[in-house]
Amino acid sequence: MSEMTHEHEIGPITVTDVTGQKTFVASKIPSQATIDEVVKYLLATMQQPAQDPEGRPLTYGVRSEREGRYLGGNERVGDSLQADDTLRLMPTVDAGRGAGG
Amino acid sequence: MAGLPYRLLAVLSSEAGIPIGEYPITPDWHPATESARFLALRQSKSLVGPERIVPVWDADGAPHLSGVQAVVCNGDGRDIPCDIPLAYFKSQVQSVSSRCIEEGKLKVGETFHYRIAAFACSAEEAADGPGQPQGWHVQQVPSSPLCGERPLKSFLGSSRLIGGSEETGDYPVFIPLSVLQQAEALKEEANVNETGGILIGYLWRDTESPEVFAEVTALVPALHTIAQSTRLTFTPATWDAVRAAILLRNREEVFLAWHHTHPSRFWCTCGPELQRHCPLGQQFFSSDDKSVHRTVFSLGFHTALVTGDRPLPDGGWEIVHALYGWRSGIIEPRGFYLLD
Repeated sequence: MSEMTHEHEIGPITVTDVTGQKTFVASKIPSQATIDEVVKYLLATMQQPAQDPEGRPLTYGVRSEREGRYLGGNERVGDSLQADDTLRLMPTVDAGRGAGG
Repeated sequence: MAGLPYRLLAVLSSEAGIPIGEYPITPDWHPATESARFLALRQSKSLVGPERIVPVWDADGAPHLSGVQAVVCNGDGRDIPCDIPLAYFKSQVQSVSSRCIEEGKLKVGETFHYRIAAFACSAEEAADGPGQPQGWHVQQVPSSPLCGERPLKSFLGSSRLIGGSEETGDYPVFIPLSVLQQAEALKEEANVNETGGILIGYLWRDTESPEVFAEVTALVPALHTIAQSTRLTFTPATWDAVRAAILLRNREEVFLAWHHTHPSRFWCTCGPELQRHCPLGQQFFSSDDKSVHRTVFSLGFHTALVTGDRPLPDGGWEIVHALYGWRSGIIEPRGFYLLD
């Protein structure tokens, strides 16, 4: 007798940027994926920068609208997300004179 | 996701024409395609379709580019091209030149020439970024940024153009005097530190033409930032607070622009005699500012208001406002209409 593990998939999940003017729908996300893995893929798909001008990684907070909290990068999709959830990607960004002034 | 099915090389040569090297570059096409999509929105009331990037060869023909075109197909099946100049690749070329300096092929401050060469390849080969993980599916939800229709001429009749000129073809942005006064008050309150906020309002379609324009209605001060003299950090809590303010106002306003200050009078150490020529007294949009704009305000209609300082002949300083926005995929200084 062989054993088989069925990995659940989560979706659809609505994902928006800060402004709410760029909205995507993600589906069939493996429940074992981490929030960090989901964000990494979403950033590329949404054409959101992953690095600042100096090449340092940009930090994005992932806010679950249903739970009203920011999700941790190591949380598993299966533990944190439900179908029809809305996530908002909120970056930490630096403006100002910086190096370019 | 539109891209150019070509491998791109930055071809650098010295001022005397001696080859320095050829370096692969992978441009960020998002600003180009968003500029094209916004141009299409301004030119047609029909739905905006998918976009593509096509090469524009220079006078010598392939493989060298004089630029590219971002082309959007509108709902009538008509292609609307947006010309993207060679300057679009400048930041990538600057990165390459830094590498050349590290390798000893260029000296700091040395002038060089560059061309961009393009060689056909498969879309997969040209793609930058991870492929879609097996089974996952992510799709953009089509939506219009427009809030409704208003007569543009009534706004033009009660405003005056500040900075820029109509020849640039920039879409009209209307900012009330009260918002600029609030920006100045925030700057003075922050004193030596930078401060900022988000400009909210409406994106309207003209009732008599396809033209689109922005009406700024309020400046929401940025809370939960980390403010220093030369840096202002917007955090996730900042964005949360702005969204909460929009919901509380309950007027269906949208994000139009962002604002921050450059307290140049505190940066300048030139002394009264030389401060008129201090580069920090010029208005500018730093590489960090561009990064914020690209990360959060990447749609074609998004703009950025900078409230800075300008030296006066008498040794004092005055507060000045400058607006920046997307033009052909590049962030440029632009004008705005001051609403009385």
